[in-house]
Amino acid sequence: MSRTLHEVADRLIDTDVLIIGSEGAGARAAIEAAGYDVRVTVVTKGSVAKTGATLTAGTDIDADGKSIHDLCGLPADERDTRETFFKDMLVEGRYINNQKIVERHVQDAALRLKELMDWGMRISPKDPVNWAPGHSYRRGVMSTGREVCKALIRGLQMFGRKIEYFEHTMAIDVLKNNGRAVGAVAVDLETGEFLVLPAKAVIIATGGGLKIYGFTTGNQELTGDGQAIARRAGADFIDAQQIQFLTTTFRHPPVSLQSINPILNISPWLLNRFGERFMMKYDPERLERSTRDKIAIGIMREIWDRRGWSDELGSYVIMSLKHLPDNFVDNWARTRSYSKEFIENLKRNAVPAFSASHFFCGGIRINERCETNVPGLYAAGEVTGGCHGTNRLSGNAITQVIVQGKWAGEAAAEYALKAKKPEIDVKQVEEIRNKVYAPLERKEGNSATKLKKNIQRMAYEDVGVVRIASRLEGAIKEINRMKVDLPMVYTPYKGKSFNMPWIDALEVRNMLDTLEIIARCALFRTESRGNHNRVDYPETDNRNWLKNVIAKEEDGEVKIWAEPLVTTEFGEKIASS
Amino acid sequence: MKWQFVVCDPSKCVGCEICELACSISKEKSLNNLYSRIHTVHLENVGEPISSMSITCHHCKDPVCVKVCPREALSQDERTGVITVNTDFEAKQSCHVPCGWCMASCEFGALILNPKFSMAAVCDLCPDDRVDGEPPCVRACPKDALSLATTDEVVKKTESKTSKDILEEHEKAREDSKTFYEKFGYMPMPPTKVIKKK
Amino acid sequence: MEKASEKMAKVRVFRFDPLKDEEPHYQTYDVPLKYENMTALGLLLHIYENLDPSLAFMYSCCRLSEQGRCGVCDMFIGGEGAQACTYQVKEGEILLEPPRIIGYPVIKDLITRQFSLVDREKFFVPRTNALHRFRKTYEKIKGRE
Repeated sequence: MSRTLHEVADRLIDTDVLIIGSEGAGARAAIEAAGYDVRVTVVTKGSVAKTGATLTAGTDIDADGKSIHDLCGLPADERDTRETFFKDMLVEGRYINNQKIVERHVQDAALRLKELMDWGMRISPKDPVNWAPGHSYRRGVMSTGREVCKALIRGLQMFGRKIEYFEHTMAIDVLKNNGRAVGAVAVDLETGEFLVLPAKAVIIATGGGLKIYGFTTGNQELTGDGQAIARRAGADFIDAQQIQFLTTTFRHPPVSLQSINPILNISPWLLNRFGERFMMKYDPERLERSTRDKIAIGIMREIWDRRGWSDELGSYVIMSLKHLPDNFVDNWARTRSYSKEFIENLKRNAVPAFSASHFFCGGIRINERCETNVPGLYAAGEVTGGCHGTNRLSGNAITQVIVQGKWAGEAAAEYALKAKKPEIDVKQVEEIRNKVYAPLERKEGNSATKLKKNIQRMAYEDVGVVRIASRLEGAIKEINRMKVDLPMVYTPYKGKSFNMPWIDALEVRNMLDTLEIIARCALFRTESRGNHNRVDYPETDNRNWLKNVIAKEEDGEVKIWAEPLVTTEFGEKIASS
Repeated sequence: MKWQFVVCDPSKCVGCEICELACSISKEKSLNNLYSRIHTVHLENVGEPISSMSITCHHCKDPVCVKVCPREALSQDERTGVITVNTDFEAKQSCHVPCGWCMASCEFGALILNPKFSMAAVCDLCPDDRVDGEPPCVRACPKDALSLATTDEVVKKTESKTSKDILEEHEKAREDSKTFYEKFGYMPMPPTKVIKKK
Repeated sequence: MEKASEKMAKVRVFRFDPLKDEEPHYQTYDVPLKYENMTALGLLLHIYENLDPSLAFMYSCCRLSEQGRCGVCDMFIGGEGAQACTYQVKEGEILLEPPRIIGYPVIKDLITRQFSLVDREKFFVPRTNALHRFRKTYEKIKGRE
């Protein structure tokens, strides 16, 4: 007895271009797509342009110096050309970037920046163009994430009611028919209703999966929903194991982190549970003055060997400035503009230190038009991979977001203009609906909140800043075991409006799917490159591993293989030199 | 020494809205009422105009806008009573992607949302644009209804009884510090049974 | 990291479920202040994880390194506007409510409908307020005559 679509869906919303995610890439894609003669709908988990990492980025935006000077009129070095920018990106990405994407990225960066400035983005008056490490010239136009979001909102305001917004709506899955993406299903978190949105083209712009890790510098909504949705829709992933981490400490437990990279410059003592300066084992010459990745490796090894502190917040080591005289610390603090109470705390007490996830360099595989291998499915922003390779240059994240947002909006709108009306498979929708509401109906089972914390702890320890084969295999086994347990998740509270345990249950499903891909790709790549550190394969192997690791779900299993790099002529010249 | 602000005499005001244009030209160099920090309100009864008045920041004693801002971006100068909005580029306590709480809680409608920068803005008595001590809106008023003064001074000068009463009511509201809804009896949480939106 | 000795905070939270309740009510929880520098957001997380999973509240950046805060956890703490991730909690009583301002209807517990950043109608809120005030004042005066 099959039901009609209207019976299965609480609300049916027909549209042409559906965008999942509304900050950064999502907003830019919406602005672009709305310029065409298509209906645009934006679905977002929180409020429009207030849910995501772009708003809280204290940011610089990269473009090549010559264009910054010519197009935007800011003081920059004119000797810096697009070619130099391209080269810097390849060097930082250790040559496994998708060079076609990088080429288009450096072409468009300054144009998108100029648009943002036209829409009212203010530039920092003190230091308009900043020179960050890794760049050959001054390239980072300093602004704040807040200004970027305000500029994007002004861009969205130009279209007024033409774009439809669904706030507090969590996208669950992309629907497919005959191998083509035909729309999505979502849950309205305010009322608990089930929405079906048939669409001709779908753009995923949900940001990185930072909250999969226990400690993260990102926002709480980023639980890898976009990656999981793409995986279940059959999209490829490229180098998903590349994740950038940052050493941080707590400010106001149990929330609120602060990066300690600048503090590492004055060599604090890093101690384990026994009060030993454990860096003696990992870098006996330079101890705490070692490079950032060696410090990260040191911290993680201590945690693995159970020599770190471990409590309900997670596992960490201790950092202390007690060996330095007070006035030295005060003088240094003045140059850094930390708050008084933070510095007092640092001088008096030991603070925890750990590596928090910061940015996802790998993700859904796209080409230079933001198309995935599924027709009708596009992706833009941090959720995609291939742009940055193994490591991201400082300031390139916002550039990626505005540049790729435009490509995705353009490509999706052009596709939607020519595509046929989407046909939905009602059985598929019904299956998803049953899975979504199951935790609400179950009377007893496992708690989703506890499961989420376990996943976060496991991801931090086993698939974290440094990896080893035994732990990765252990993590994959644990993920598979949790997946078996997943149907037993229930919510203790049965209300339908903003049921936080229910949201946790939906997010946990996505976190497991995404984490499995990351862990398997990390296991597959048997070398260390950029921010992927394998303790058992510590060397970078340019003979065998100048390739990309591709992952894809087929019949419920994740298949992994390596593919040769996507190169351009110019890129090959640089790589060979 | 009481705080001065731009006061309007309702018996003289004709509702021409020239003060709004003067404010927007002076502050934002554009002829757009949305940028103006002073609003003209028109009271009508079935299409028949009854009265008009221009309202701007009344420099309340214990301002609600300052209390309500979640980031403490608003502050009041003790000497003049002028409210300043912190619009610094990166400061912690600056107006953000706006929440609009100050705008919604001010019953006089004194705080506006500047459309260009998406931040709150309020009358600051134009310290840089005075001619004979008068800000642009006061100069522009063709009926001399506006003056930079305290309410008492304007009450003494006006001859209409209605104006006296209205101005005295406003003065009372300035001294009081209850919020809009507490005074006019609105419950801000109508149980919006959000079942079927739109 | 210092753990403060067992100080308790009495947290009074506004509760309202539009699908079930007609009227809002307040609920009190006793929360131990486990850490020094605990914030209101820490209290809410403790209540959610250990005492009452039906509490709904929103939070995003958790005051990441004092910079670029998101504005998602704005609420009224002790009757004044504040952010949950910034507000330092001291021992004693604390009142958590959603913003009690007209135009911000409560969706659930501490979550309100923020005004739509994309709608142009919000620019007319001050005018509407001013007109409403003027009308009320006028009616009051005429009522006295």
